[in-house]
Amino acid sequence: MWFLPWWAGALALGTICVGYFWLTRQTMGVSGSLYRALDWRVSRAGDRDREAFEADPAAVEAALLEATRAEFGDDAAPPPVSPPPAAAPPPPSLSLGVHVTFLGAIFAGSLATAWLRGALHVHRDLGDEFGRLVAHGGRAWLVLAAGGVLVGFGTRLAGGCTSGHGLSGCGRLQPGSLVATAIFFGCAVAISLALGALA
Amino acid sequence: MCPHTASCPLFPRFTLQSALKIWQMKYCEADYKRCARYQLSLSGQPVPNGLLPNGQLLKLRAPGG
Repeated sequence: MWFLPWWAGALALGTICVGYFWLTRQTMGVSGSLYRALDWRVSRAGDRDREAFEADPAAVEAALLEATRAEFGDDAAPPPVSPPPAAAPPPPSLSLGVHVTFLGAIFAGSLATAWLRGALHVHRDLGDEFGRLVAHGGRAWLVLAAGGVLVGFGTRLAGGCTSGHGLSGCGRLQPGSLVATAIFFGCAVAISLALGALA
Repeated sequence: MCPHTASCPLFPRFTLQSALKIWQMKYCEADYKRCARYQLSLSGQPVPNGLLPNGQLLKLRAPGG
């Protein structure tokens, strides 16, 4: 199997992470985007909620002051004698369209790369190496599907995947991401070695 | 300090508006686990922008009304 040189892959992934943040002001995470796209009804409702919230900043400020007085009393939030300074814009949350575009670009990029390499074929098996290490035939697809379910469960449980924790989180030295990446990479290496020893 | 401040749309408003800082002091910096936004996000549910830390929803008046 042919792979990019390590330095080219590192450069590409770093550029994608920084570029994604530069464009969206959000950290990249594939599983998060997939979740938003699959749960599109909730994402659409979130888009509408955000638009209503951002439509009239002055009304939001006034409502916040009123809620503050109701919760903590007039002393906590006295009525302003002059108009309050404009608050910094909240960090933008991404719309459903951004997530769908991001996932579509990953799929299109994969197709284009396979086509450029001359490796764009329909496969009915998962390759000799997968067969040697895991299983052949229909059983291989069942194992793959079960693995996919476990990966999906794990990414939701951990709040991210290899891109969200491994690339974006570790790049920002987030402690949770460092721990998550160490665990899932450690497990992957251990299971690969164990399968290799058993095969 | 609440770990969700970077993504919370209310936190910048609390920090920059002196009359709203009490939310930051009582919830974001003190007892953030009591915050309704924090609790809802932990449950995996989408957090409405207008949900206040005390669990009340912000009452936005319609423009002109």
